Amino acid sequence: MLKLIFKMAFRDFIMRKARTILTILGVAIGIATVVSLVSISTGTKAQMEKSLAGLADFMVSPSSNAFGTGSKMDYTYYLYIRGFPEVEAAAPYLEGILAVNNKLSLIIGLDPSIDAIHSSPIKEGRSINWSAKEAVAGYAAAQSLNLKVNMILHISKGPGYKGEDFKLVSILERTGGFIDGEIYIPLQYMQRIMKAEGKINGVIIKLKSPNLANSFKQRIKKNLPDLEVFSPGTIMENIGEVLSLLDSVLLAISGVSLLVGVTSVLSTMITNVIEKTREIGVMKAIGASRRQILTIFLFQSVIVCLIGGILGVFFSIGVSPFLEQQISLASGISFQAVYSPELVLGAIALSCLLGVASGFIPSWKAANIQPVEALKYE
Amino acid sequence: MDAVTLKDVVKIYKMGKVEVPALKGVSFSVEKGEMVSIIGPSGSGKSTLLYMMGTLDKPTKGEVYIDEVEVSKLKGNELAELRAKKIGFVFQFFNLIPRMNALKNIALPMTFLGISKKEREERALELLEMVGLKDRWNHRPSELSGGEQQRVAIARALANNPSIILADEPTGNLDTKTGKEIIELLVALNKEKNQTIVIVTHEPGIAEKCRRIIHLKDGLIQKDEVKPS
Repeated sequence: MLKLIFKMAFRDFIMRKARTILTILGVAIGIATVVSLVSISTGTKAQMEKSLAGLADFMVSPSSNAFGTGSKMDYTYYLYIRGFPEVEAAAPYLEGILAVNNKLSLIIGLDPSIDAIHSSPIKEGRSINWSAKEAVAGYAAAQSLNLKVNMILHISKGPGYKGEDFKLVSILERTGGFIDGEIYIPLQYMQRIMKAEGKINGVIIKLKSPNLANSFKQRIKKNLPDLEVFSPGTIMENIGEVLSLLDSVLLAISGVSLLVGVTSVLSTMITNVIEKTREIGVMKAIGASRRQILTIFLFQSVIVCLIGGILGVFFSIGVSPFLEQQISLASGISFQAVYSPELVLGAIALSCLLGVASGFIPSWKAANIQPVEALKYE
Repeated sequence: MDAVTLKDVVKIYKMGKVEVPALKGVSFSVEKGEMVSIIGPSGSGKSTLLYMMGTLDKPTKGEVYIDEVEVSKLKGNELAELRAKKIGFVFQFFNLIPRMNALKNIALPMTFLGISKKEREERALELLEMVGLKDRWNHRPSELSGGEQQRVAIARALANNPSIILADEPTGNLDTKTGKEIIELLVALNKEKNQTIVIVTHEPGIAEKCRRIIHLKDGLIQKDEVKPS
């Protein structure tokens, strides 16, 4: 019986090639959208965790300035904080979106103190000399700006502004973190270009021990109330909120695309049932039960959705390098979509569910057709 | 023993608010091994009567027995099983499944009963041989003539060894010569295999081939004649 159902379903597909292909495409697009969105969302989360894992223990910067691109503080704060008993190492930074060879990019000004906190593996070139006019580029920044070691970078406040020339001495390995999208230059020159001499955005801190976090925070609160301490944890929380909002948006988009898929299967199945009314009547007359008719049509719809689902997953995986490239270019972070086995299996299960959901009403209708009326159907 | 019994069967169709009586109280029995024709002008209720006997439609009033089982007491799946096992239909427009070859069309009613593929195919080939189409087992309905299609339909009706074959204007869509051949096939089935057959027709020439003729008019039996053997 199962074999018959399978064969009948397939014979129908072959008879109605164009309609079946279009329906399968509809489902494939729906499932591909869902799979891509989920993989991007999962990728974004993984990316954020990875990025933050690469960050220092804490960052101190003026209040309401989580990423430090806004308000600035005096360099003397750095000297003061550096002397706190909990601090093992501290590094000042000043960041801004500047023009690099007339293209905007995120530039961070640092000084040698950063070496005690961070060491990023170099892919090509040599270490930076913090007192010379030299620059280091993250992997993604180098790619998107098409930078090569030993190139001269003209860095200015904006395209067309007069700036200063730096020699690119190294390109860093791909880390998957924020670092990938940034270009580093010595702090003093950064201050000069931004006309912010003696100013920094914040201080990157490495504590002597993680247990000292509270005491460090208390000390900042007491002595420097206009500053705020950001830990990777608090940043993650903030990002988490943004991401859950993003998830709801993605869910809504997925919902709409799935609805389109369901509608296309539903309309195909209704047409199929109407076209086969007489045949259903004949099958009932020669002994097919309601359940057998229901199974034949439900199976058809599930098969269409399953094929669509599998194609959708392949399609999504197929276009992911392109999406990753686009997102990496747009965000400046080397982005990777995440396709877990759960996602692939979930998508296939979802497509089967879609088949049952969209095929049930037409199949039920088919199963309940009155044979006498069906036999008279022209 | 009776293959089919109808007791005071009434069928009223509702067309909106208007009630249209198709059968106004019909009673008769068909014995096993009988070949009966039901004849009457169009609109006399003969097809309705056949559908009642085939359990495809339910009477508004009255009882229908197939092999002494009252049909109205059966549930949907039991009815389907009864149709698969006890009733074979032959239609005016053949009603074969276009995508299946002759062999598969014949095997289809056996599939609904869960009979194994080997058994189905053996039986279908036997039946094809019986209706003289063994060589054409792999042809689809569109590759067969009207007469051949009706032979396949008859073979399909016989697939599960039914108690009764119900034929609705089986020659209505065939030329006279082919129609005659089909009727001869049905007569042979009745004579040689003792197969119970009920034929609905409006052609007296076809009805004449049966020993018993039930004349139907305006939803009532006008005459139930049995020719002397």
